[in-house]
Amino acid sequence: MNEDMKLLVVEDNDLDVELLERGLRKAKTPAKLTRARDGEEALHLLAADENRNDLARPFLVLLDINMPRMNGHEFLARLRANEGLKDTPVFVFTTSSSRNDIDRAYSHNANGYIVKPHGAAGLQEVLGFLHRFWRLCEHPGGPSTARA
Amino acid sequence: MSSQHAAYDTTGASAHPPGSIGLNLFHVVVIVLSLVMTIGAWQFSKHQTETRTAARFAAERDRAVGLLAERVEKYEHALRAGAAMVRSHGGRVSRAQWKDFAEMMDNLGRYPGTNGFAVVHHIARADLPAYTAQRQADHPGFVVRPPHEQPFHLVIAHVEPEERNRDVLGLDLAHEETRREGALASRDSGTSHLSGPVALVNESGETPGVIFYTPIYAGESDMPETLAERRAAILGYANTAFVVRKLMVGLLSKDRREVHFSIADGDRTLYDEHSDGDPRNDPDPLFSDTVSLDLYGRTWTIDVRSTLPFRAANTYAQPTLILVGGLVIEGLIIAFLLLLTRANGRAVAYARGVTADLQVESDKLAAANAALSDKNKELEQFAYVASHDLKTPLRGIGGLTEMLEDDLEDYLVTPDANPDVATNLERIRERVRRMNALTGGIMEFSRIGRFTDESTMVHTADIVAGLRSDFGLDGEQLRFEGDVPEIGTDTFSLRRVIENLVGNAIKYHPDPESLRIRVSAAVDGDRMTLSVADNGPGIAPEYRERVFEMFQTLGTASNSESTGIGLAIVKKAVERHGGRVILEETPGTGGATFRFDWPLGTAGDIFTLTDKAA
Repeated sequence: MNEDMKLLVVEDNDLDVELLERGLRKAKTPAKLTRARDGEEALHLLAADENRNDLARPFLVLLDINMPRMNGHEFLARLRANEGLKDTPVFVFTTSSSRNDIDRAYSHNANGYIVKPHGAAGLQEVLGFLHRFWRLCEHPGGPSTARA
Repeated sequence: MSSQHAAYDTTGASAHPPGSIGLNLFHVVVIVLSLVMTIGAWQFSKHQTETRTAARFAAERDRAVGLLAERVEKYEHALRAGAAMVRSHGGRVSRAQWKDFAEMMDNLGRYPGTNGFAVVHHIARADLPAYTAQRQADHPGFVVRPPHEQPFHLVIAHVEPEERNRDVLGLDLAHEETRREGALASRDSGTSHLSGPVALVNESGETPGVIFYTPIYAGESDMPETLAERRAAILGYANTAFVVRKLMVGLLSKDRREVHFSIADGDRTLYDEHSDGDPRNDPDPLFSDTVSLDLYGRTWTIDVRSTLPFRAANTYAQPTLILVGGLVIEGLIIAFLLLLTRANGRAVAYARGVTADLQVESDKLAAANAALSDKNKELEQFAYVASHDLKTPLRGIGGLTEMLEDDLEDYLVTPDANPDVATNLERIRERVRRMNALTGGIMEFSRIGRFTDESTMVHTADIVAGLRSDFGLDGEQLRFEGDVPEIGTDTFSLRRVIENLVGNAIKYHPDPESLRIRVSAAVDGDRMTLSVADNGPGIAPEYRERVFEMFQTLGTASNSESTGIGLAIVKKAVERHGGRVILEETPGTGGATFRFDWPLGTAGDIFTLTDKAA
């Protein structure tokens, strides 16, 4: 049983990644975070993992939208078109709250859409939600197994 | 003044089909018709006048010729009377008898053309000496003269009044051919006969005249019937000589005539009024005619010409007046039509000029408008992109501040910690929040109503209910009134408008407990009117316009959320949907009431929003 919440963060902004790492550390959430700087790198990482199995499959992809080379929408479209990877869960995690971005994300079967929160408190809330979601998915036994 | 002229020109031409400069077919028809009428009236009148004048001339001519013939006839009657008298006395009369006769005829009074009546004896050459002797018995010194070679003599035996004509007694008319032949023609025809023209000698010299003979035959009863009998029976002639000019005077007074005439026998002129220097002569007579008059064996040619008085009396101005008047009217018509078409042309040209100018102005305006619209879109786009791009570093600053706070967590709780650090970190966070609100507001403002989106169906009441829950208010604090149908609209914009207004009401209200916001809606034609009324402090009248301007805050709330963009977004969204928003005082409470209108769309409407170049 995998005790780490494995996340693939697709994000070009180093600061956002650092904030996320800090947040995870602060929340003491057992997590393993892999980072890709854009959609292309993310696809590459996922494909490598599938073939060589040296990277554990992520529980969730946290996907930024505005990125160089390949943005979030493109990545999601490519991912869903890939037979081996199409079931990978993806949460869009972006600053954009525009109706257009939200609609496009769900039209490519995003599993969730989270607007990046302002401030550490907001981030803790998001991470708490993600962790509970992970526990629910990976440990369907029930809340009894939740950590104290 | 010039404007009056311009107005006159335009009015004058407005009924005219545009685009025709110069006379059109209708004008030509009018001109030709009136010209034909003018010429027709002129010709008709002229013909009438000419016919009338010609008839007058003919009457004058016939009167003159008739009077002439009548006059000569009167002399002939006198001669025949004389001849009959002589014949009734057995062919010879005494001087006394002839004198009686002549006095009875009163020839001086009634026969002004002649000097006297005479008896001419036809004497055979052989009988002359006896005849002369016999005559000298009662006329001592009677001599037949002048001598000639003819076999007979035509001797003037009596002439009355004798005193005036004494010197013609004894004159032998046979000595001269014209006189002789006149007598012989009379003898041979048995009728009165005129001689050809002769030169008569009188007190004023020689004048043209004619000799008139009526034959006297022997025997008391029947006239001799054959030429031979007449030649055998001829005794003499009753005779007179008249000057044609004198014949005319009095009886055919020139003053009473409007024609002058000349009389010629063959090529010899007997009488001529045309060249007598009379000022009434018409050098180019209106009418002239030549009449041949057969008169006692001669044919007189009478040349009748109208005079100047005739011309004056019969030259009617009417046809000329008609022609001149008609042509003048014609000219006026043409001038009028030309003026009309010229005015029309000017008006059309002016209108075209104005239209062209307007078109140019309109094109310029459209181009300027398009340019302005492009600029506006560009500006909105710039504002959006700038705000958007500011968000990322801003988030970074916010994140870094928190990281800093996190890292200093342990230090800040120590007693030695500088309290300013925590305060300043909080101030940075506060400014980041404010900056976030501003960039978000600017982005929304630049985007609101920009998209033409398919409408979604929404109940206004549902929007208000959603806001109630969002803002955490109860049904007392935020109330909806009104009965409006579900509408198909740009729901996001409508929601943002109401949300901003409700948010404003909350933000500026001093006491959430007593806060009362009432959203009312009503249908008005094809639009819905909405009002958001609060019981807050209200907004003074002098600020009611300014609150809708960008970044205008009234400063009562030191809230970081108060960016001064919310009402600008409201105004823009409402105007993009063809409406307007006004701010009033809430009756009773003195709070603020915002009223605006919104289209009542239906499902599937595509919003084509007013793109105002502000």
